[in-house]
Amino acid sequence: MPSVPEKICRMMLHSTVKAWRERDGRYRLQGVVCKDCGKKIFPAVQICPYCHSKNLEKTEFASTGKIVLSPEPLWYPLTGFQELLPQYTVMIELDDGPFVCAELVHYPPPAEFKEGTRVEMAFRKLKREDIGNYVYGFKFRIVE
Amino acid sequence: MTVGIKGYGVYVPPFRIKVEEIMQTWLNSNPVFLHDMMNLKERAVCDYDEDVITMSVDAAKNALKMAKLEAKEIGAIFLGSSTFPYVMKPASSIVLEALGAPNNTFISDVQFSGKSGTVALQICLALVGQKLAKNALAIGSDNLSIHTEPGDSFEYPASAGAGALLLGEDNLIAEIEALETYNSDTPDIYRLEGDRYLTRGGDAMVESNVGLPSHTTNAVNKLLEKLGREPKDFDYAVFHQTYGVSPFIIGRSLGFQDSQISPSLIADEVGDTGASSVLIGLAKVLDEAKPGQKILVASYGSGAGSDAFALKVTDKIGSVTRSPKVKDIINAKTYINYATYAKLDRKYQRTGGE
Ligand SMILES: [Zn+2]
Repeated sequence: MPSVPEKICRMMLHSTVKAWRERDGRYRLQGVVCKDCGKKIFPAVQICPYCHSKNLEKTEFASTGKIVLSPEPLWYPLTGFQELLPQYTVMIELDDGPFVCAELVHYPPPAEFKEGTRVEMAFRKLKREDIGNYVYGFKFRIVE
Repeated sequence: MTVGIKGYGVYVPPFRIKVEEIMQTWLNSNPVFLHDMMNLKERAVCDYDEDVITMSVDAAKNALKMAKLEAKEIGAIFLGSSTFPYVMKPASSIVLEALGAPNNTFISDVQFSGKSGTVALQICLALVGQKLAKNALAIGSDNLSIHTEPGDSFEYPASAGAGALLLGEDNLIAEIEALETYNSDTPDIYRLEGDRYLTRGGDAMVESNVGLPSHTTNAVNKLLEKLGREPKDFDYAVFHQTYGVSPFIIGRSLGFQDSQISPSLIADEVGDTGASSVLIGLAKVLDEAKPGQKILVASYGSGAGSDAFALKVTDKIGSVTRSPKVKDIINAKTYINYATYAKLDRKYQRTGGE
């Protein structure tokens, strides 16, 4: 039992493999660029969803972008994230193209953001897995 | 060639709790004592999703940005902290991948309570000096708040923050002239295996001068002797800051003027940031330092030890872009009440399950 009593979601798999395999995308927004059709894809995939090519190259996308869709903040708890309310989940268009669905951090206060607000990536603790290990990854913060 | 600082970065979590707020809950202190005698107004609290690792990444990114350096060019990352999220598993490996540094970078976690950050600096200095790394990141990061027992008098200053120094041999903004250290077995503040909260070895150890004042004085005097200098030869002096008053007490006893110390003062507004205390203080000084000026830095870690080093600011300092400045980071804040702080720091019992 860890000494700091953080909420741990019991529905998650008893494995760290998935989180480990996807860490480059979570830590540094690493996705792929299709060398056949040129599409930029995030998160990374094995086969291009546009032209079915396997000729993909790993690329780190821009860590800045703008909000393109901002639904109402989530005030009811998602399993495993009861302590983080309210959750502001928005759709972000990164400066070099791809779209990312991400959460906003609580400071600067995201209360008055709208479509077009500039954001930058922040490295944060996302959750703890069932077996206790921490999963880190991207969130976004508003830049004035 | 001299080894020195190429860039620096700081991160302080934006949530602040005023000392009055803690006082209203516990009634175990008074405003006159904390404000006027200890020079402490408020201190920082980590958000839910922040810890030693995330603060380190933020500080390191700021340092890289200032030096206009790609993460791929880093050769060493040493992360000093006394409050790592994992007891076994390096935090520095997460910082390495979060920054995108090469996998063959020399990395490790180092722990020497409050001076962990300057111990990381020593290691990086040695690696750069020995040409094992071209650019080395020394990070000090601590979240003391989460490891301080509610109701403890240390709850007033126990804070969180991170500072990062990027060391190298070219494009230096400050050269490291000399380094000294002084260590002894002094159990003043410690945290045992399995313990969540840190323990104080009694007032005789903490409030007397056996810890912070004695070790810092010994290290600084040794350094002054080595360099053949006097306190007045320095433009700035940066000391470990438990309270806002601590650096002045140590500085005065060593013969420094208050005007040499006050530019580095951060503890009155952010509290004791542990391993990052002197690194943030130094960054605040470098924000306003002019070419040719001399800076003395002396950290302190419970247990106990002090590292003192002397820096000389170079002409390059005029051309670096400091964004954000330490002042701006400290001023970007939002106040929370005691209940929110207790929630953010998870100062409650959980019986388990969903
Ligand atoms: Zn394609």
